[in-house]
Amino acid sequence: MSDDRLSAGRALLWLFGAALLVFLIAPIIVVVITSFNATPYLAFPPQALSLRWYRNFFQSAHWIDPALLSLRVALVAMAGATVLGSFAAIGLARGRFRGKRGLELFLVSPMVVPIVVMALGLYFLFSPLHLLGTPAALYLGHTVIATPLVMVIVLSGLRSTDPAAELAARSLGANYWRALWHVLIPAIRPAILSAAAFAFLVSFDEVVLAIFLGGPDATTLPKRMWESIRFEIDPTLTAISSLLTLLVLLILGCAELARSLQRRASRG
Amino acid sequence: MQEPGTEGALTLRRLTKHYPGFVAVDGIDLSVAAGEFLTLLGPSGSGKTTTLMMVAGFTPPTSGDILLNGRSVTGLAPERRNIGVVFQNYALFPHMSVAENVAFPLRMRRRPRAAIEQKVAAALDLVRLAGLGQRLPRQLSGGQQQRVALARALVFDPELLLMDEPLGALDKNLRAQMQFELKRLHGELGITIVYVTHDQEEALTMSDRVALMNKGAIEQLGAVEDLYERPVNRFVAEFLGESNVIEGRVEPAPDGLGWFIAAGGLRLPVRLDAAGPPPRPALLVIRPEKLGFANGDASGIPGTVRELVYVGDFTRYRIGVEGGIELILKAPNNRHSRRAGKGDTVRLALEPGDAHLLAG
Repeated sequence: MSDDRLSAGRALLWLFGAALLVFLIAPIIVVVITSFNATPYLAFPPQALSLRWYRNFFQSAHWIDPALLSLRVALVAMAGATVLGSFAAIGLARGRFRGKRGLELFLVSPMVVPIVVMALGLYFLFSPLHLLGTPAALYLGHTVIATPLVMVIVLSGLRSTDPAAELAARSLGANYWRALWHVLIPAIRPAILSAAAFAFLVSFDEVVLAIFLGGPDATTLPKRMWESIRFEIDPTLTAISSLLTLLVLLILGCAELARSLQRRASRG
Repeated sequence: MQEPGTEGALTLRRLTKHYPGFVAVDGIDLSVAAGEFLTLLGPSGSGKTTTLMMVAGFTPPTSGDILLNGRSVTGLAPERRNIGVVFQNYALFPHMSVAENVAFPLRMRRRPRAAIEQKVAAALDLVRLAGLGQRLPRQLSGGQQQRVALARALVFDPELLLMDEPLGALDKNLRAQMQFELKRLHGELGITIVYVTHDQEEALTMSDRVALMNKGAIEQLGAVEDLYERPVNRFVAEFLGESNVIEGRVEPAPDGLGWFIAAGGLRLPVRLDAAGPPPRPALLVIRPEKLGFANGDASGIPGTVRELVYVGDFTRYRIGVEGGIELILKAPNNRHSRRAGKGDTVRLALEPGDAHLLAG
């Protein structure tokens, strides 16, 4: 009897899991399928298949310029956040100083503060500096929101390293920076790589800061999509959404591949 | 051995480390002779590792001075001290091969490539790992990893080798084998070694001298035999090996002999130190293996066997004697040694010179 109840519970769990999966993935599947539709309006299922919306994306400056800006912003934010976040994580993990816990909470705060509040704050900060509407505002803003993410990921990577290895390096003749470069950073390279990938993605599909800080001259792809959706539903959106999904899968796949390659290499 | 007043390979002067709320190391003076194997032994929290970390340069001392071959290194960064350090968990660099690990200190010193290759090969040979240079640390056993750490700490000819519980992570047989290896290397290289352990057996088998630490201070410094046979206080007597420690007073008798009278009235023969008056109150330390069963006659200390445990090479007896005192006796299990059974009435023999008097 208890076996019956167990299997009934298990079946229910499976059902719940499957339902959850469907609700998570179904919208993405629908969008991807719709993007191959030939009709000039959204229709599901598609009546005829075509790549015209993909072509439209790549051929119109209306779409490709924001995409290139997004790419540039994401690369700058990724670089900035990876450097700042990694160093912050190393300082927090290895340093011994008063108020460390408080500093950690402070540095994580951009992840917890509502994004609209962040956006508004940056708006008032950048306004007197005449940065609003420039790509620089987006470089800085996205670096701010991506840095804590990098820090958290690198911190968890640091937890699995042995601090004695750095001490050993010092005693063997490496100064602080050489110990960092030759011993600590190689040990946390996988964490830094996946942190960089996440920083890129956070910036690439960020829309709230882009709306607040980017003017007509600094329109990122997510902002252009948001603008476009307010007036008409352009089927190009579905093509872009599919491409964005593909990009996410590619980047996370690469990060995972790099990680498993490194793991295999260090296992020999 | 070190003469007082001369500079050793390593000299600590009033070395002190305070942390908020407690004193980790409390003004240690210590001089280690060139080529000496000195062990810092003590329970956890006694300050031995903190002392080692200060010598290595990882922990800044609150006050005091550290001299390496006569020059002060107290304010020097660890990488400029030229001291080899071996850690308990090996601290190998997981992403580098064995050869790269061993080459690391030479690379940091920008030695020419050919010289590096030659020294690395020689160092791996020294620790009997020749041919394993291309492996990664995680492909080696614990004992092999510790050998790599040792090769890496020796390859740059350091002035001093520090070892922080280096065998703690190994199982018992491997540990004995590595102890032997370390002694061999110490003999071959003539290097000065400061070794930290909480394992007294390890300290006894390997060291020229032992500094027994407790609560941030050195309780006693001396040869292994000194510490065991002539402990200076109760802590040393009880930390090293097993001891019967009895409280009482001393009653002198002629010919440098005397009686130790325990609180309960038990009288034991002792040899008195000619140098001064006997301590009052006094403690008597008797090692369990110094006690034996007396031959048939009526002399000796009467007692009753309360318990006995057979431990292979010897049998350990718990014997109740006069005044509610219990003595531990260890008798070797050979044909010459007398035996007793539980509940037997026995007489214990003790040579006056075999008991050690302390101030109480």
